[in-house]
Formats: sequence, structure tokens, C-alpha cells
Amino acid sequence: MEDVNRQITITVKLFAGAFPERICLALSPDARVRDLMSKVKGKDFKSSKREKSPLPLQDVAQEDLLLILNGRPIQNLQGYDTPLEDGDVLAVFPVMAGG
Amino acid sequence: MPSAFAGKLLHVNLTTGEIAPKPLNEEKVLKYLGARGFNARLLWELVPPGADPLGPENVLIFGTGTLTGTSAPTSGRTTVSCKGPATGLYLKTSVGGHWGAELKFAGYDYLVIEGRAAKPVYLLIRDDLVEIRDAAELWGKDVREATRAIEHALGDPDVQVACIGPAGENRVLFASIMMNYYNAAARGGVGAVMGSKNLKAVAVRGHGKIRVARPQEFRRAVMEAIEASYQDFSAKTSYLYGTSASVAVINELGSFPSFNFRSGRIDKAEKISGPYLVEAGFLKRRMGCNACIFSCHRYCEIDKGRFTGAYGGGPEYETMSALGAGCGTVDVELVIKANELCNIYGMDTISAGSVVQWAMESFEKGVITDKDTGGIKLQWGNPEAILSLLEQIARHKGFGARLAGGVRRAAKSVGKGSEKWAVESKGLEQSRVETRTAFGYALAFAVNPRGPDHLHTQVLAEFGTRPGGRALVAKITGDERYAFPRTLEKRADIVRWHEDCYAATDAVGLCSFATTARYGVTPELLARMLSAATGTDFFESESLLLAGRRIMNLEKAFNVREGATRKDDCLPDRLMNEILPPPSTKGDDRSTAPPDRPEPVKESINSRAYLDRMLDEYYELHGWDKATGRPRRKTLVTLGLEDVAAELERAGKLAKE
Repeated sequence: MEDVNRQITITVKLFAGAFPERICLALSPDARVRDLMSKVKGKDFKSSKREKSPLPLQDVAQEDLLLILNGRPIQNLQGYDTPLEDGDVLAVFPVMAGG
Repeated sequence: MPSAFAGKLLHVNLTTGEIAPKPLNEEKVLKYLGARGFNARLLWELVPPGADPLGPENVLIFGTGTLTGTSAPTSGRTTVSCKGPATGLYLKTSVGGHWGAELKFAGYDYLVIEGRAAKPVYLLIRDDLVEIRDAAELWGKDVREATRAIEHALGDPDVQVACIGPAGENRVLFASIMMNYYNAAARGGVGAVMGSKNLKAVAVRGHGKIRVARPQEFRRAVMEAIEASYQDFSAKTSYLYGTSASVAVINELGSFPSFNFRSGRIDKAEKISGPYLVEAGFLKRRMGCNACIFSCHRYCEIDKGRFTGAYGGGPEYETMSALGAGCGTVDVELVIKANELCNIYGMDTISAGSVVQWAMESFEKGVITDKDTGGIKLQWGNPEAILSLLEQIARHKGFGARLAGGVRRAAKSVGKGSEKWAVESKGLEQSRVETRTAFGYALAFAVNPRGPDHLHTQVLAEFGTRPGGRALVAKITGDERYAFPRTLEKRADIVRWHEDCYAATDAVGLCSFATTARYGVTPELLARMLSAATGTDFFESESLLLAGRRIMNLEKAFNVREGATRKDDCLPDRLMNEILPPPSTKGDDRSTAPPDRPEPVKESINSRAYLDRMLDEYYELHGWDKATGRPRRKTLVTLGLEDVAAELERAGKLAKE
């Protein structure tokens, strides 16, 4: 019988400043990026270190965050509806452009 | 009636010493919008086919944007054009700062330098007073020393100085022209052309004013443009962190050119990023070009340690990859120091970094040894090796002399298969964009008349990461699903629109960060500002984009006249033949891929087959012959380039109908 309580673990890299802070979160196997982000925003955007950044992530509107899942921008996948798998890595940046 | 123009074109012939200000034919300028566009027209008329780029027949044109000197946001750009010494083809390079606005305040929209001085000189322009002055004491000085010496000699710290360093004097084929220390007209070797004319500097001081034709209407359009530009959130990150803001993002995407484009990632890339420059205290202040509203330019200095006192503008994103990751290092102090050397010697950081990393890979593979290098150990990331090579290149000494012609010539002289990792096309080193993961960029780079580089056509919209970019792709292709970079579909359409828009942006003198990177200043707004400023009514967005296309076709025609064909529209060997590893072992072809996305490419490579498919569509769209890449008569005539078509026909270089 399949274990319905099985959870998946996702690594999130938060780029509020130069270096990412890594956090690991456990989610249900049917979780999508949207579910992950609501969990992240709820508790993890507000660490004291991150609040000192000139660009605190909690002040950035959702559409101005750039989310990269396993090296692909989520807009190239299914956006906030993108399904997650165990071991996925999501990087979170404020939007940057130019080069 | 005022028209945003200063009203004069200044011809200076260094062979004869003739200085000839001429009234500007504004109607003719506006056919090509200005700056890059009118420069291209002058280049077509003044440089005979087959001319030696470093000979007196080549001309060096400084063209200000039509809106430069006004309050139009980001309108501080100037285009420097000539036949390029690295490629033997068309070359334009755009530069920011305040020099262009000053030239207009002095009363001139264009400066055309012809011939060659018998001995080193510099040009001094003070309003109506124009002098060719002796530069014997300036020759040999670096950019900083020469600029300071001119400021002191004139007793005027506000003089705007465009000058070359030792690299330009020594005709390094990627020598830059530096404007007031920090702003570089860098790519393709414009500094070598200036050096070949024995022209050390052009110093400008002006006291006039630029007036626009319909001030109220102009002001309204300007305010709208400013407001629209601030809508995109990246305006904020750009101010905080400059262009190197995006280093960590692009590394995360596996597309940050590292180890001479062998890899798209480097460990700890964050240490050479814009945010790190702020957090580690290197960033001292932020600066803007004339009329800029973003101020992405930064100024960094090292306060302690082995490179104490090193300072300069940037380092920009491109420099972080070219002199950092590309050379196998994330030592930011080293990059700041190497950047400083390039800026004071007057060299393009992109090409300088490219030749160094090519040499490092050649050293690793045993193709060159420390016997060739005079004992320099060219291991990846070796700071002494990087810094001493930069010095040698600029001075044209030692092993550096073999690199001073750029990576194509270096690989040809060394041989032994080293052409395969010479990351260049048309003779220009590719700028730091991983085109194997973004196919609009791949096409844009392949067809760029000056060589593979992003400052001709920025197709950021294809990434689909911003609402403005997605809306634009939907407008061009009819469907925002095409805002997806790893497909060949619709790339031709997306690239051509961006070509038109970028050309128009350059020509009116705005920065592409306001238009194709941030979408705030639309062609419609650009057209309104231009109409109100010049007092003309024929500009609306369609005619503006069409004028952009006219510029692009003229640039193309210049290359065709020089003998370029379809085979020149390609990419570096490595990118066409080596697959870039994916950013993660977790593929995106599982359930994460949207079911309705355009057909993705199978592998991250700019293969001949991929490129050919895009080129066919692109030439077709342009009305150029698919077999040769040459324009058809009808295409040129439709764009009002009848005489260009006639000349190509006489030379037997017009496409068959």
C-alpha cells in the first residue's frame, strides 16, 4: 500500500543579498511552487539578516520575484502551478535585468 | 525653429589639417533618425570598399543621438562608427557618459575624423574654436594620465575628454576609446582606428543650449517615459547593483560563461556579483550618464590588501564574466584590478578577457607552453598571469603581442586546433551571453553586422520572465507562449522586431535599458518624443521601427559591399559544436513542462542545423536572398535605399530576384 504520508523535501535558496540562505522544507507529494512559496513567505522571508538587505524579499511583490527551479525560470515551466518533486532546488531572486 | 539638433557637422581632416564645420542636413539625418543611423550613412558614403581599417581612408565618426542633450530619459548616448579593424566589416559602438551632450552644447551633432596626422595630435573643441593641437607629451600616457593632463592644460575640470590609452596607440585590435575615464566605446577596436590616425584625444567644451521644437508636448512625453521606465522592478535592482546584479541569476540558470565558455557555471559566482560589491564595501558611489534615470553605473575601490587603491567604474556583468569566471576565477579584487588596467590602457574588457582565457585553455592543453609565454604560468585564475598579460597586450610586448590582434588571429598564429576554442565569429570575441540556451540571442548574435555581441539586438523578452517581455512577444508573434528561449520557433520574428527597436534606440540616443531591456519606453513613446523634439510629424511607432530597419539594412549592405555572405552569419566553433551541460540533472521534460509550449531544442548547442533553420526564416522575413544573405533590390528600394541597391548592383553584389 502506498504511504500517503510520504513527504518530499525541497531546497530553497533565498537571495536577499549576495549569498543565498538555504532552507529545506518538507511538503506533500502533490505540492506545487505556489504551495512552497506560501510556506516560505510565511516564515522565512523575515529573518533578521534578510531584513537588513537593501532589498528585503518580503517587500518584493510576487511578480517581481524571479523563481528558478532546477535552473529553469518557472515561467518556462508552469509558473506557480509547476509541480514539485523530491530533491528539487528553487532559487528566489528579486528581478534583475541588464548586462 | 529649434529642432533638438545643434545644427552642424564638423569635418576634420588630419592629413591636411582642414577643419570644416558644415550645416547639418536635418532631413537627411532624420531619414536615419540620427547617431548610429546617420553614422552608417556617412560610413557608406565616405569609406571606399576594401579600405584598410587602420589606413587613412577609414573615417572615425562620433555621432550624437538626436535627443542627446535634451531631458529625454537615458538620452546620453553617442555612437562611434568606423570600418572595424577586428572584423574588416561594419563597426558601431555606443557609449554613455556626458561627452556627446557636451559636443552638442559646443554646437556640433557629428564629428567626422578623416585622414591621418603626421605626428600625435589631439583635437580641442571649444564652441566655435576648433584646434588640432600637438600631443607629443600626451602620447604614451594612459587614459587617466592623459585625461588629467588635458584638464590641467586647459584649466577646466569640466572639459569632456574622449581619449585612447597605450592599447589604442599600439593598435591593439580591441582597443577602446574612453570618455572621461569611465565610459568606454569599447568593442571592435575603435581605439585602434583612433590610434592609427595619430589622434590621442578629442576634448570638448560647449556653452550652448539644446532646444526642442514643441516644449510642452515634449515634456509630457518625457514625463510619461520616465514614469513607464520606473514601472519595471529591475529599475530598482539596476540602481542598487548595476549590470552585475544578474551574475548569480545567470549562474543559477547554468548560462554564466565560465572557463572560456566550457561551462555555464562557476562555484561561488556570488563573489563577483553586484550585491557582493555592495556588501563587501567595494562600491563607493553610483553614477548616471547624461539624463539617465536609472544610474546603473557604479564606482568601486579597493581599500586594503594586495590591490589597495585600485579603482574604477563597474565592474559590469560582462567584465565579471570576461575577466573573472571566464578566466576561471571569482576573485573580485582581481577583477576590479584587471578592469582598472583595461580602462587605463584603453582596452575592451570583453575581448581582453576572451584572449586571456583562450590562452589559458591553450596552456592547459599544452598547445602553448611557458616557453611561448616567456615564463608566465597561464593556469586558470592565476592573478599574476592575468594582470601581466593585460599589460603585455596593451604595450604590444612579449606574448601579449600575439594576443593583441584578438583571438581569431592568435588562434591562427598558434594553430594546433586552438581555433576550436577561440570563441569568436566574424573576428569579434563573443560577449558574455550563453547563446546555447537562448536561441533568439543565438540568431541575433549570428547576424549582428559587427560580430557576436548583445549590444545590437537585446532579446531579453524571449526569456518570458517579465510581464512586459511576455506582452511584447505576444504582440510580435500573436502568442505569449513564444516567450520561451529554448525553441527555434518565431525567433526570426522576435529578433527582427528587436533589431528595429534597438537601431531606433541607438539612433535617437537613448539607452537600450530604457527600451528593449525594460519595455518602459515603447516605440510609440520614442516616436512622440522625437516628433515633439524635432518638430516633425511623420514619426509614429511604425515609421520609427521602419527607420530602424533602414539602418539595419544599410549596415548589412556595408558588409555585403565588403564581400560578406551568409557564411559569415555564424557563431563561434565551440558553441556550434559542443553541447552545454544542462543546469541540473533534473530535466524539465517531466511533469514540470507545460503541455503547450513551443517545440524545445533537443540539446543546448547552436548547431549548424538549428542556425540554418533560423537564418532561412530570418532572411526570408527581411527580403534577403537565402543562399547568399544579400538583400534584394525590392527590399532596399522599399526602405528608400535606391542608391545603395544601385551601388551593390554595379558591384555584382545584389541578390538575384
